[in-house]
Amino acid sequence: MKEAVKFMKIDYSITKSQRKTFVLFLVLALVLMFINDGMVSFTAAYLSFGAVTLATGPFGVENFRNMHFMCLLPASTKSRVKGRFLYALAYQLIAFAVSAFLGVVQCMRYSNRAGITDEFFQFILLFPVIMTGISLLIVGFEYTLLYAVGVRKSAQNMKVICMLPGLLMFALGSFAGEELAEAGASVSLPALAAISMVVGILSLFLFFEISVYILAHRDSI
Amino acid sequence: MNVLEVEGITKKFKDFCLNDISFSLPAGYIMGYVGKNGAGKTTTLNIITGLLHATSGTVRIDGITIQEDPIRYKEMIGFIGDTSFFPDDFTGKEVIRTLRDFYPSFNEQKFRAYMKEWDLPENKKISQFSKGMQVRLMFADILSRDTKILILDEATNGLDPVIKDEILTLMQEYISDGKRSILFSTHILSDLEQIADYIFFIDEGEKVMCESKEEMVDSFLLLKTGPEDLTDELSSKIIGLKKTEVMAEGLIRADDAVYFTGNVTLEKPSVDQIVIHYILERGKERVLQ
Repeated sequence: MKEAVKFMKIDYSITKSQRKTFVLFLVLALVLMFINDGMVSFTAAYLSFGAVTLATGPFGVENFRNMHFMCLLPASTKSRVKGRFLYALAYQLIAFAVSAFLGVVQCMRYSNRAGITDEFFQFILLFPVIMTGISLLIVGFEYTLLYAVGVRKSAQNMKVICMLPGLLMFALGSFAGEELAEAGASVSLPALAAISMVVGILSLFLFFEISVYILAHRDSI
Repeated sequence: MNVLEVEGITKKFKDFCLNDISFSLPAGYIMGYVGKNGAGKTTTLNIITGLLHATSGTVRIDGITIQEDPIRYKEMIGFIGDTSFFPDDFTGKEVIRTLRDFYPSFNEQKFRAYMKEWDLPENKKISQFSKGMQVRLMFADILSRDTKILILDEATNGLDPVIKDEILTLMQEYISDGKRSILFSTHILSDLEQIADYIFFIDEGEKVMCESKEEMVDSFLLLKTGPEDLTDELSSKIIGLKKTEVMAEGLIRADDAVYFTGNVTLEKPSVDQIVIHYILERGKERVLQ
């Protein structure tokens, strides 16, 4: 794990320019929250889109020199991949934390309004959990695809792989958010949230193992 | 004791094949790995450093393969390419942090001392360093930790004579303890003339020759004569014959000097000249095939 954290620090350093973009995402999330009359589902979907897309940052800045540098560092392939997955996980956790915080703020704002049901509050607090579970699944799949395709072999394909899943997440998340909000008591949100997180975490582990296998058996350039 | 042992490495690509390359490099010596552009030099080095997987064959550094112990294997390698391999956005501080994180033998004080001596700023991005500064930074890295082998891939390309001379001196200091070795891949052979002990000549992915520089140079003579003085029989003994209207030049084996009497000049060739004439000869053979 120590080696993985060291690689995560490298990924953090080589994606410095992205940090400003992420802060912008967070600020826009707050703005959207208030524009949308505090609909956290839209904001959570938006933050998930940002987290999934920005998590691919290290792949975007990879070139022959970076690859050579990373490959020469005395560590195993598994640590290198684990470090990158930790980097992705960090973004998802930040997105979840901000969504959850905004959800709590929204609950406090709505607590005195008439006609607001318990299911609505449940939705506000659990939707970020559902989105995070899905984003873990998507980012794991994205990473595995990027390791398989090999960034340097096709920069065009890489751009599609980096952007498309995030956009899909945003679209599905917004749609699902509205549907779930309207579904009310007919859907068990706690069960859905639990399933989403379990599937998300298990798939992240699975995609990690597949990525390690791919990288260990593939040329790095 | 061999620091580097390469046994039968082969790497197949769609339009190129590195074929059965074997050599070993004893401790305390410098091997020049030479050939024209596209000969397979970088492919070989990428296999040795673990960037590429060989189709077959093994590479050992200090007796271990990368599969047996990837961490120890990579700790022993110092690498310098024609450009800095540190990420562009890294500053000197981040280089220090990374080296400290990954290399137990990294001596931070020594590294900072080199940076000070060579005027390398800690807070400037490496992408803003000049080429000479980038090479010095990579040397500071290697000289600040324990390595067994220094691998240079076209590291002196584009450097001014002053820095080049400094680097060649650093290389000689690196092997002076007799425990470390250098594999220096370049197509600028004048750099090797000064420092290499061994030469491995590769062409079209195949070994052409591998011997000590002294033996290589002593095995051949550079022949210069008028084209009218060459019979077909004599021409067949010449490697990489270059003919103009007024002059013919080629390489001959030292033992064949007895056949060339009369109006000829025989002189000791440089490594450069040996490689050029061999490449010419191999080009002719391919055309005939």
